Amino acid sequence: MAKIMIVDDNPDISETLKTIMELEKHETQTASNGEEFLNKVEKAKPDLVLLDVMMPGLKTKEILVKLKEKGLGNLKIILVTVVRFSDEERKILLNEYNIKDYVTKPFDLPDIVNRVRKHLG
Amino acid sequence: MDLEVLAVNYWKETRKDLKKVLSEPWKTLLLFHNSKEVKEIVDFIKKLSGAKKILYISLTKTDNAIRPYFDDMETSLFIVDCVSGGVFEKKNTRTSFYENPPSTIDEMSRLNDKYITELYPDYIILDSLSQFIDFSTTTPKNTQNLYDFLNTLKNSRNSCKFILLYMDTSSKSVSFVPSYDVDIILKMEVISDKVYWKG
Repeated sequence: MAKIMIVDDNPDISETLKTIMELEKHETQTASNGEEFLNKVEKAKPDLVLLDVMMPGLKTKEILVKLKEKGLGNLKIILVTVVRFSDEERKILLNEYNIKDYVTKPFDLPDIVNRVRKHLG
Repeated sequence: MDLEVLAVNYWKETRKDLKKVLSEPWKTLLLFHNSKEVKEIVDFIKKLSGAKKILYISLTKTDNAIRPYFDDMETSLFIVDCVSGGVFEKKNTRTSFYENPPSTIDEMSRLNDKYITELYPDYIILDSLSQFIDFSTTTPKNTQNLYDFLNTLKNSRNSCKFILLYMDTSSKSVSFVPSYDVDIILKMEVISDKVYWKG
């Protein structure tokens, strides 16, 4: 069992991910924006974060910078997003931003489960 | 609870006469689609005639993800990218503009007006209305705003045409469509599966 944080401003998506992760026997916490996530993350100590890209408030790059400032730059993050990036941009996300994986919405449930399993090792 | 019929939508297969449909006079076109990637959308845009200057306002794809698909099209492409700025450091160029994502239809409308005034495009692609509205729900937020926005576009006196994309990947049926508020509604269905004969 792992601790997973789900960060998404869409309550339907957040609830879906929460249900799937709990069926996988993981402990979950949710946040609906970057500020709430950053407020909760130190106490929650998640093993993995499922992070939406386009949320109101803090931008993704600001969230990642603030995580580094908190000493949490190595936190495992999977982006779950409707945004389509180019191949080059995906490489930057994975290599330079230390993002572990990238899942596009609408996501396939078995696919996201497999990716989470893979990154939790 | 008994279910009630909320809407009856008729969809006509127009592949053979798509060119004819698109050549008729129209100002606004709403395209329902289930395409997860850029290619099928751009292939549709390539079917439009007289597209010398296109303005693509994107809330779901980055400039870098869109632009290569237009390489073989003889048109001036301007992209307003509302997503890259949230992730990467970006600076405006002559043809690429980076904006914060509009969070309401009113903000989308203001963004639209700003770039029409600056660029005078032939076609404007808004990608995507699904960021603001869910046509599968019966009591969507912003409904009146949506109708106002669509009618403003439909009745605008500028010469540009508007293509409004709506990514329809919900497992629920579309329960209403703004039939009277756009000139043409089309549905593009992309079917993907493993190609078994390739082994």
